[in-house]
Amino acid sequence: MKVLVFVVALMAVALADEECDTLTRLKVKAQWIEAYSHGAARHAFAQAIWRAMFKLSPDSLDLFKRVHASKEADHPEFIAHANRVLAGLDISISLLDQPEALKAELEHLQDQHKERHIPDEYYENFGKALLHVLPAQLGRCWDKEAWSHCYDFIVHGIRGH
Amino acid sequence: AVTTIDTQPPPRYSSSSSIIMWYLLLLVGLASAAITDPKSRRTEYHVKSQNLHLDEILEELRELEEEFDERDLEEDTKEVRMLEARISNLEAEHDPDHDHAHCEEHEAECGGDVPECVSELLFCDGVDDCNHGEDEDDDRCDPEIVHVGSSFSGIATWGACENFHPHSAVVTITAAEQNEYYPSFVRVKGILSFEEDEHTHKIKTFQLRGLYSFARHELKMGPDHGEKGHYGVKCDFNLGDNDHADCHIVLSDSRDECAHFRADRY
Repeated sequence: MKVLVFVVALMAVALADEECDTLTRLKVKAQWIEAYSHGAARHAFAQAIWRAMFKLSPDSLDLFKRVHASKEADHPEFIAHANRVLAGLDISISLLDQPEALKAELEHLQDQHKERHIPDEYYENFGKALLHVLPAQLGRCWDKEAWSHCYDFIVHGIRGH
Repeated sequence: AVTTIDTQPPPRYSSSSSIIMWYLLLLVGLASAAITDPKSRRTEYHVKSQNLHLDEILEELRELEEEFDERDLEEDTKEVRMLEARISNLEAEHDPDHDHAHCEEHEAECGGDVPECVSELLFCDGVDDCNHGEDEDDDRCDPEIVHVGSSFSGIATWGACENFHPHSAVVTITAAEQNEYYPSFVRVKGILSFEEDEHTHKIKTFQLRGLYSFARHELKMGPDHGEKGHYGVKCDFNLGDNDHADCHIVLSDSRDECAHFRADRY
């Protein structure tokens, strides 16, 4: 049984890896640079994602008490946190075409998230929020499938399963 | 008046009291008729003449109103709103302190008395981001523009891409979805169609999908999934109301303009 689970898990990884393939990664990377933006626009981008996230999973606010999270996501300390999260995502996405370095970064993020016991649902909802704000920021030039596959790949690396 | 009764000769048959009584009653009746008649007529005359005066005044008033209506002084609020919109569009384009519009890319003007720019990602999401909450204003966040079935049409003038004479172009909204957890934009599907030939009325149709931004009152659509068409549409509802827009047919990849039309809602 354990072997079967392992095989299925391995297949899932292989599948996620395959769907987020080299060209897809390059596409996501390029679109991310455009969406991630800079200055005040970057704060707003982060805020929009977190507001959507907290509407999807209001309970997840408890996890971010230390950084003064609220539904409005507008406390300066939370904005700082939100930007830090995006910075982590930025590193991961930027390294999508350097598998070794990406592996190291995802392992680092995995360590940071391990003790927090974050439900899978939160990762999924963060992805949902991200995939709604991205097209608003990018307009026409974005590929939902590409993003969906590569987000799953990154989250898989952070969750470690 | 009572004297009239007294001047009548006394009844001859005083023995029959009932006859006297009837006779008296008859007299009283006649007398009263004779007394009230001239007085009521006078009153009637007064009332009539007052009514005529009133009629005359009303007639004069009607004539005055007619004269007033001919002057067409009534201010068309809709026209004023559209004029204001045109002026503010020009102000945004030709701000002397800036090369471009007052706000940065990805930002929109709050629209209050004090100029303020806020990211268009944060409009109409239930949280006040403008100083006076203008980003959550009911008028601005009204999804009426992209109600399913809304149709915007005008005469498209082609500057590139197709060798057409100016013909009708129509954009129709076929689906609209405002997400609960990310309500700042409405996801829309629609159809773009334009006449190829005005004699045969042959029409080209394209399935589109895209987003409507509350912050900018702007509808941007490109080819739907799996569609081969390479046209997109961009409509700015910046003309002061929900029924008029400045629309462009563009190449969906480069966003270069192919045609332009002033769209009215039908």
